[in-house]
Amino acid sequence: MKLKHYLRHRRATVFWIVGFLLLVLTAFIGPFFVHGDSVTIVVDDRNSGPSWQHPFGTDNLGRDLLMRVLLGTQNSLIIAVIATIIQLVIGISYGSIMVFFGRRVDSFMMRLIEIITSLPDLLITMLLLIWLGNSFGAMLFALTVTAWCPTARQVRGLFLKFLNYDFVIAAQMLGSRLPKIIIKHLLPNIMSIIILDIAIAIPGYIFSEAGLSFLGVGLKSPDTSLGVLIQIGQSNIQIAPHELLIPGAILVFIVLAMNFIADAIRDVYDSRYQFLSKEDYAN
Amino acid sequence: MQIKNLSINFSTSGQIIHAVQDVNLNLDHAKITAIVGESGSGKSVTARAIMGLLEKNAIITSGQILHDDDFQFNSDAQKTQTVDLLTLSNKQMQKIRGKSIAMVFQDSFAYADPTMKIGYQVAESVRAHNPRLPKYEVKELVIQWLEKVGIKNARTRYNDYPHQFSGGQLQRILIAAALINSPKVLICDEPTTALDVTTQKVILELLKELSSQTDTKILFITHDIAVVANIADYVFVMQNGRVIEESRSIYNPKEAYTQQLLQIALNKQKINTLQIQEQNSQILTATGISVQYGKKHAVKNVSLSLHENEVLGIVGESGSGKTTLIKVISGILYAQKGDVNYHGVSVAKMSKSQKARFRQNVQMIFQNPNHSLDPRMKIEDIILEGVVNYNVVEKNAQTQYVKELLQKVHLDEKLATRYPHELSGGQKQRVSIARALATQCEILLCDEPTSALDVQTEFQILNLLREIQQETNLSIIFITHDINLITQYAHNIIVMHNGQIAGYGNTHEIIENPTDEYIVQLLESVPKLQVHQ
Amino acid sequence: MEVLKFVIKSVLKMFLTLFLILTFTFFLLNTVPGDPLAARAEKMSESQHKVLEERYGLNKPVVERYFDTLGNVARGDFGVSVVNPESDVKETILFRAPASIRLGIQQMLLGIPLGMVLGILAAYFKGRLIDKFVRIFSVVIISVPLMIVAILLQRYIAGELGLFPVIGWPKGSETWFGGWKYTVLPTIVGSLGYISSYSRLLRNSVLDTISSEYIVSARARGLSEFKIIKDHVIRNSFIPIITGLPLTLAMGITGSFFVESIFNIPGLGKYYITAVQERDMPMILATTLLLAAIYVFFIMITDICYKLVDPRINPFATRNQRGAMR
Repeated sequence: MKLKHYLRHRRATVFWIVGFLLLVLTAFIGPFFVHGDSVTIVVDDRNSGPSWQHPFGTDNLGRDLLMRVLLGTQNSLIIAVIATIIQLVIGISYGSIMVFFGRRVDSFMMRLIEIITSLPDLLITMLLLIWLGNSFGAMLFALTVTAWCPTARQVRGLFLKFLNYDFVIAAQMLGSRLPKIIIKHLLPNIMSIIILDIAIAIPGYIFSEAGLSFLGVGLKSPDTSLGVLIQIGQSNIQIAPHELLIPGAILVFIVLAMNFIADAIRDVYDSRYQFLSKEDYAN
Repeated sequence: MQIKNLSINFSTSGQIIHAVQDVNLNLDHAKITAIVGESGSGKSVTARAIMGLLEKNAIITSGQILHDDDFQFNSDAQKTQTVDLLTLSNKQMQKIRGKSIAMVFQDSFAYADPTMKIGYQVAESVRAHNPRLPKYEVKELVIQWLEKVGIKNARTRYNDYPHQFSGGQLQRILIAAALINSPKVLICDEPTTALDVTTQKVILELLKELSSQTDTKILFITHDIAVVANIADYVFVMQNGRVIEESRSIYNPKEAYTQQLLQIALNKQKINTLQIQEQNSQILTATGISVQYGKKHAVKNVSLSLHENEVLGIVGESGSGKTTLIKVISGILYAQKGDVNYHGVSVAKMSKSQKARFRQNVQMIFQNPNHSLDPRMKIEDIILEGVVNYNVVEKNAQTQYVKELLQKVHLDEKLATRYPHELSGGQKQRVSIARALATQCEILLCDEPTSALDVQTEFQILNLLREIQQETNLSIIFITHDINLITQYAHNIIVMHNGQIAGYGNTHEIIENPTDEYIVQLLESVPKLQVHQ
Repeated sequence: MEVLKFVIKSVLKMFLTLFLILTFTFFLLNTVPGDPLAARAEKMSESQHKVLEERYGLNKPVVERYFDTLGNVARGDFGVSVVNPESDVKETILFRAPASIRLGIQQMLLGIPLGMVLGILAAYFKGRLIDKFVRIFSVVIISVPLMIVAILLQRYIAGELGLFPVIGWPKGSETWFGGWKYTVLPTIVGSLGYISSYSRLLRNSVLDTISSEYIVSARARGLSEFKIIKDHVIRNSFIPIITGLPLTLAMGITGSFFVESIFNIPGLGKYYITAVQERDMPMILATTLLLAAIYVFFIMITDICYKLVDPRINPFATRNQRGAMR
């Protein structure tokens, strides 16, 4: 199915894509225009509802919630995107190296992945956060330390599958060596899957960050993120429910949008590139 | 049974495809009726329409399918009457399917439930239509039928799963499941296409025999005109969704399309008397090649030699080791035993530069045109991949070079900037040929290059290969499962069976005076047309 | 024989993994910067601090403590909590486990069958109302974090309407049975994840099965739709449930962290979070090991199940084999 044809018939998907882009823009440009104070603690003006001065009200320490939400969204997005990049770069390189060397190197590297994936990753992440403390870098490290494994395994699997295809054997006979084959033939052919991985990984990381911060093992105030905001919101749910609902709604919006975008990628996947079957897209 | 003015459309992503247009068929002319046509001619869609098993996106726009039987769902039961199947509900069709009209499909492994014992699958047919029959009687009936279609030890094999049978055996079982209720009509949708010729022959004979014993009529769907000639008493020819011709015999066609099909099929039965020119030297020899997977020999002690400008045919059924052999020759696979020599130098002991020269000079054309070209590359880049790697022509001459090659394989030079998915199967194979020729190779290995193509395109590709082979001094090794395909072109021929050579020699001699038992059997199994002079 | 060999190998592998987890966790926890007794440091004098250090063995070198711990763990002794010196870790865990186990079982009993039925219905009535409902439901469930659902239900259903208690869990004689009103909301929240993931799993696998050729051939034999579903579709689409097993476990462990901490349920998840927040190292070590053991054990079971289901009878395996002929 052609992309244009698809978008014309799926107005909802267009809505989610545009909405998501607008949200990202607002989160990054908004802070330059909003003059709320997200840092100073104002004891007299705590948990106030929406007003002209504070469109989203204030939080439990009297800080402007709009500003904190914008910064929090920004932080959550940045963490998610950087973590996704780390996951993909390590995963793809690791997978390529396995395929390139093959044999013993491959089976050793595969064993390593098996060990890592047999560990419960949430526990590992929490332990690492205890060890590293509550910081941005610690968060990124703890989130990605196991996440690259499925990517590496997936890339390896796809590459091995492709190595059996005639066009790769033909490339060998035409004198192309393996590194060239990986870069020129294999990578371009799994691009749509990698894009899909991105669309799945980003909401995953936003979720994980929020969950960890909510449980008190992730980021902590004064650092802010959607998870931190939700955690503060929970403790004030009786007096000021909007402190939970606003960051919660934004988180849900981002995740929903990414879900629909991922679905669109799956649907639009081009039957011209028949080498990728439905199963390859199904994880 | 009669089909009147049947038209079926398919809608896929906003497009409407006219799959079947105004088709009239009548099964009353003969016991076994055949529909012959290429893929996309609408023959399978017609069969599915009779069964009421069309995909959900199919729309029947007009027509009737009239069928005579004693329908039990009607008030005055047991009385034979004519009904239009298209007007029946799904519930009513359930009573007809498997009881009054049954069907056998192409790929027996795909059409048998892998997790259910085969006995149960056959018994299902019985129980669906005779729910009150006691279990042991059903079982006895099933065993009786399994024996009838030639399954040995039917009683013990009743409890086996599909993967424990060969494709031919499983197809017999599915035929038993279809015939067990003595249907009025049996539809066979290419039931032998996925099988080897020797198995095909057995299945065809089984079908003929069973139809002569009962009063079941068979509608046989195939793309192979020679099969039609051997099994059917009445033929419909379909093309682009229409029936273009019907007659009692395939031998006197009126339509140009049918004449052409017949001519191609007759040509395939010709046997050449080509000899290798004496001044042509040996360029490649293989001696004592053996390849083992585990304990099983895929190839066992095979030797061959290829001369300059020779066409060598390698014929074998699936599992005969022919593909493994060509992989060894091409250098993709190393043999555990044996040696391949190229211009007198062993491939295993070649220096780096010799190896590069070998790689450049031995190129391959693959079976599946959809898998042999990188879907993300333009045609010109595909053709130039080897040219760049082996530095065949200067950079500024490359565009011109691509044009010349496209001309050579009779393709429009405008295709250079297209992507593979914009090309037809035949065009893709031509691009594959151009890509191989671009390296200025000496030896072209062809691994069933035409088996995914329809009859006419196959003919054109074969002619193109011959033309190129005669113009240049290219040598060709041509692998095929279809012995007819190669007898008109090859100087020499190798027949492989279970990884070993069953016969190797001049084509004419091998075919005319077969010495090996297997070759005799193979030649007998190939469906033949009678040649009228 | 081969299967037995495989089982033994899997069990050995499981113990190796657990050993690795223990070692990893131990060294991680014992190299955390700062004072391990910090949680109680401010209320102690120098001498008290020394006494405690001795009691927890903190005055010995790390490697020696590691081997001590290995020995203790092998004997089933997990030490004493740093934060509450009167509570023995092992006893606390045994005391806390029933709440988590009951919560987990109730969630699965509600979530998995419901999810499976919804998935089958959605696949069979593809494109109809029920399918749309199931799909939207599962998208919403995976998009709304459990914690937000839990907080909102707690605030409005329990708090505002007062239908259920806001927090708490049945105690004493009602530990395993009874006190249902406490368990309703946590069970519902926890089962949502199972419902959405199992309905999707089943929907996809049933759709795959329905579009298989052997279903066409069953229809051609005249089988009724009910029989086709009963004898062919369900049988073939249940195989991926095995694949879903580790997923189930991961969800059980992960989900309980949120549900237990929001509804203040005295289970292992809540306990673990508290221990992490208070840096209570012996507690963290023991609970990590326990949760990891459950997880690794079920992964092992999955591996064995895969081996037992003959890959040739398993249509998913054959399909993959067809794809990757190597």
